[in-house]
This record gives sequence, C-alpha cells and structure tokens, in this order.
Amino acid sequence: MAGKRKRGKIKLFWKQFVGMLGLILLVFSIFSSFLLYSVFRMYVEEEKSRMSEKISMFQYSVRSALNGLPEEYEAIDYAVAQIGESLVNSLGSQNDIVRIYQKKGEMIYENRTSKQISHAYDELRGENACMWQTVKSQGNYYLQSLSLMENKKGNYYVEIDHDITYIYQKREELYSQYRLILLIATLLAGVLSFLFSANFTRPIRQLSRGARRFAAGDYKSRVAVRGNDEVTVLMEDFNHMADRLEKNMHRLRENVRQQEEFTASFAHELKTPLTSIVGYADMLRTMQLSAEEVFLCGDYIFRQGTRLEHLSYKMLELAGMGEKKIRMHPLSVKALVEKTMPAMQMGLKEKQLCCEVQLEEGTIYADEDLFFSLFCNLLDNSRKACEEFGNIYVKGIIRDDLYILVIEDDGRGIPKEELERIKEAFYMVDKSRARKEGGAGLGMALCDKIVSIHNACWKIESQLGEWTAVTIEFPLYQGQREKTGEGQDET
Amino acid sequence: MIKILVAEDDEAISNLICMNLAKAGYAVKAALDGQEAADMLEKEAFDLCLFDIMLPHIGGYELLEYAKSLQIPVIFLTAKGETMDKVKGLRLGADDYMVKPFQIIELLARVESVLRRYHRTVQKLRVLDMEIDVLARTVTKNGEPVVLTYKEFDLLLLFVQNPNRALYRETIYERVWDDIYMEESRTVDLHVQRLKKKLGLERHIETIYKVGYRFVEK
Repeated sequence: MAGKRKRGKIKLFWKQFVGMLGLILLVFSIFSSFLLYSVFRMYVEEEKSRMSEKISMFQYSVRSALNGLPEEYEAIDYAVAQIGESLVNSLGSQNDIVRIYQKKGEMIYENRTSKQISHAYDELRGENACMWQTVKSQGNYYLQSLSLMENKKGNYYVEIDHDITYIYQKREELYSQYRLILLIATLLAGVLSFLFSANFTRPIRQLSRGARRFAAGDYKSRVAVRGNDEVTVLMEDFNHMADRLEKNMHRLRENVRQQEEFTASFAHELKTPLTSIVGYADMLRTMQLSAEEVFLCGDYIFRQGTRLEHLSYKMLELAGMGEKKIRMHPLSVKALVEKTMPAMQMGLKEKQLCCEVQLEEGTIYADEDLFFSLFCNLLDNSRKACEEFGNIYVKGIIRDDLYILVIEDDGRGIPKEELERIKEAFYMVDKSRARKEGGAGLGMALCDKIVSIHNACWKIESQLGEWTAVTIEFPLYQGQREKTGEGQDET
Repeated sequence: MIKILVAEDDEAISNLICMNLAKAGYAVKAALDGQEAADMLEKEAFDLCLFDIMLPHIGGYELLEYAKSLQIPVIFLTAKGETMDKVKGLRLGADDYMVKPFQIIELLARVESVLRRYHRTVQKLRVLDMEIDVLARTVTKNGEPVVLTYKEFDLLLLFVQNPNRALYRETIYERVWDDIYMEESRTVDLHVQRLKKKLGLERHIETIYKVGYRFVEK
C-alpha cells in the first residue's frame, strides 16, 4: 500500500515536471522555427525582387531590340542570343546561369554549361509572366526564374538561375545555433520546472507525510500551513479533521477506560463476596466445626449473599435505565418530594435525624419513578453521612428558568480529592464503611444517569467533617411549547 | 509457632483466612487496613505476610516493599486477575499471588510452599508413628523406610497437612494430579487404598460416603 502511495506521489511530480518542460520547449521551438523561417523567406524574397528587376530589364531590352529589327530578318534566334549575352554582361549576372529558349523549348543561348532542367513552358501565359522555383543542383541551391518574352516574331523564354546557396548556408548556421540555444533552453527549463514542480508538490508531500504520521499513531502531529491557495485550504481541512479525530478518539478512549474500570470494579465487587461465600461454605462442608463456628460461617454467607443480591439489584436498575420506557410529565416538585418523604421517614427516624423541607412551588418535566429513585438515593446518602441527631435540609428555589433543588446535610462530608470521582460507578470514599451500610458504590452513578435524562445538571460541594450539599438544576417546565420540544428529545 | 500477618480490608475474607490458618496451626494476626498492617510489622516479627493489593491508607505494593526490607515473604491476595497485575506483584518481589475467589485448601498449600522455600517450616513432619521428610520426599514408619510413589507421597502430604478436614475426591484430584476431576474416575480411591495399606492408616483415613476421605490423627 505504501508503495502505491509513493508511486502516486512521484507520478504527480513527473506529470508536472514533464508537462511544464514540454510546454516550454514546444512554445520555444514554434517561436524559433517561425523566426528562422521568416528570416529565410526574407532573404529569398530579397533575391527574388533583385532578380525580378533583372528580368524586367531583360524583357524590356529584348523587346526593344527585336522591335528595331527588320521584319524579314531571318537570324532572330541568333540576334536574341547576342542580346542575351550582352545583357548578361551589362546586368552583372556573370555568376548566374542564363539560358534563353526558343518557343519549342530549344535552347538558343547559355552563358555557362550546366545541367539543364526541363520546364513546363505551357504554364507560362500572358505578357511578362514569370515562374519561380528553387532548384538544387550539384550541391548548390539556385533560385530559378523562367520568364516569357512575348514578341510578334515568336515567344522566347529566359531562364535565370541565381545561386542562393549562401542563404541555405546561413540557415544551416542558424539551425546549429538554434540547436545549441534549444539545448541550453531545455536545461534551463528543466531546472526551472523541476524547482517549480518540487515547490508545487511540496505541500502535498507534507500533507501526505502528515497523514502517514497520523496513521502511524502520532495523533498530535499536524501539518504546518503556509501560503493561501487550494492546497493550504486542504491542509487546514486536514488539520481540522485531525483535531476532530483526535478529540473523538480521546472521547472513545475515555469511554473505553471507563468501561474497563467499570468491568474491573464490577469483577472486584463480585469476587469479594464470592470469595467469602465459597470459603465459608467450604469450611462448613469439610470441617467439623463448633456450633458457634457454624453460626459464624452461616452468618457470613448470608450477609455476603445479601450484598451480592443488593449489587445485582443496583446493576439491574442501572442497566435497565437504558431500556425502561421513560415517561416524562410536567410534575410539581413539591408534590413529588412530599410523595417521596414517607418512604424515607423510617431511616431518618432510626438515626433521629431532623429533616427540614422548604420548597417553592414549581413544575418540572420529569419521570416520576426516576425522580423518586434520584431523590431517595441522595437523601439516603445524606442519612448515611449524618451522625445521630444530624440535620438534613431540602430546599427548592426558582431562579430564571431553572428549578434548583438542594439537598444539604451536616454529616461527615467528602474529602476534596474524592469529589471528582464520586459519580463513577463502584467508587466508594470509604469502602469498608460503605459496605457495612449496604452500599455497592452505584448510587451516585445511578443519580448521574437520571440527572442527565432530565436534561438537568448537578454539582456536589462539601466541606470535610462539616457539610455536603448536592445541587440539582432542572429546567423549569414552561407550557406546551417546551413540552413538545422536550418530548421529542426524550423519545 | 509460625506467625502470619493477614492484611485484608474485607472483614469476612479476613476472618475466613484467619480462622483457617489458625486451624492449620499458625499464629495469625489480622489488620483491616494498610496503616494497621505497617504498625504491626514494626512491632512484631512475622514469618509470612498475606496482603490484599487494594488496601485503605497504605496499598499492598507499599506494604510489600516494607515487608521485603524486613525479609518477610509475601503472598498477594487480590480480585485483580489481570496478568499485568500478577507480573507487577511478582516483579516487585511477591513470593506468590492468589486471585479471589480462591479455595482455602489452595491458600494453605501456597502458604506451606512459601514457608518451606524460606525454611520457616519444619522439614520433617512427625505424624502418628510416621516421620515425613518434605524436602527429601521420604517417609519412615517406626524408623523403617516406606517406599511411596510420587503421587502417593503428595497424597499423604495433603492428608497430613489438612487433618480433620473432609477432602472431596475432586479436591484431592485437583491438588495432587493437577487436572480436572472426572466424575467416574477411580484413580483417587485406588491411590488412597494403596496408601492406607502401605502405611497401615486404615483407621486414620476415614471414608466419607459419597464425598471423599478425612484424615484424623487420634
């Protein structure tokens, strides 16, 4: 997989690199070729126009010379050849090849012997018609012109071959220079596009490295964001994604940790009474014990069994909360508390506790059973915390759109460092005492769940040895609109 | 007499261990939290400590260090069954590790074996007219050596170390053969019969109907 990813990365780099280099070279070659071609054309055209002048002179001279001849003059061909020769000399065309043909294609004059080329004479029509052609002959290039000289004595053709090899040589020179320049340009463009491509793909490579680091488990790693183009946005998005992922992962890990802790604590809570039960039962069956010892064993088995039973009830309550159908109704807090109090009176009387209840009239949206369970648990905690003749205060006040229920006692309090963990399942501030009083360490975890079901929040404050106050803030019930809103939340 | 300190915060378990160790002939002191255990270690000399890991005030690991400095062997008792916890406990120098729930007979066996390792216990047991050398694995009856097989010796040791205790067939099988007991297996009975015959213990190893055997010294 890593290889595939790597190949992908390289591909983009080479694509970028080769594409850019190709483009630069293509534009450069088109431009230079065009330049070279037009320079070449310019030279040729220059030669052509110079030759055109000569041809016009030729035509003019021949025509005027022939006109001056008598009509019955027989040796016209010869005369034309003579005129031609004199013209070659006077026009300075000694370096050119000049041939004059009769209308039948028969050559009547040639200033230099050289290889002849056949011509398509028929294509030339009309006065002063001229035909151009570039001819290569014996390693030399010639600009060849064939012009018609119309005359009442008959048509003559003049061929002038002008040597333009020097233009070709010049072009060759230019070509070799061009090749050198092209080579330099290729190198330059190569370096440039390499740098550009490297620069262009760098953020992508960084991003890829970052992603790989992240995948390898370095969840703290982020990509350094630079510039402000699309890749930057991508990098920012990546970082944002990494942030969210890290947060989620942290939350999941936290969940798993809590789950593991719960399982471990549960196992501990299960194994401890089991050890006693199994041990004492084993004693009963294997040893001959005195009546007193038998009683002791039986008592331990019974008490530890009861503890297990209590634990199983609490566990069911906690587990069942997720499945139980929760019925939320607008309920008066005062009525709820008054309904709950009689059930608690027994326990309170046992310790001769004084319970003061002061509640404002207020309606919250609640499930009656769950509220009952919450209130009982908290009140029971207060009862356990109090010495004999202690005081418990239950206060309810309305502030803004909250109903605040406070349950306070002047019992033994909770050490500051324990307050944070007190809501965790199986957490007990004083294990041995909690067990003696029949606690399984699940009460607060249960309360926490109930509080969150009611969209409420709660806090526990305490002063060790002085007091403990539990404050629950319920959202106040505010008529039909709120009801439908919350109803949707809960179902 | 061998003195054992038991530090366990659960009263029921603490009592269970103390009762059984006392019945096995050890002098036992119980501490219900780490602080109490540390105080006792300071005041008295012990031959062996049994510590719970999760103790109030002072944890089992800390107590272990203290006990080690006094060169007292330590067995951990805990509900934490994870391998890492075991490794941690043993690496810190614990001599053995018991995971709750445990059987009393197993606890006694481990206590015995740790004590033997530290030579805190007698090498030779004198029971009735027999002398059993635990390390040499030899038995003499009235001064005459008796040849026992490996399993027979273990069986004898189990009986002698758990007098007056009904030993269930499955318990015997699991302790001596270290395997899971099959309902119809006659292995235990055969070995017990042979042991009785070899050592003339017919009167002292009682058969308990449908349960197993009990060793009585009288």
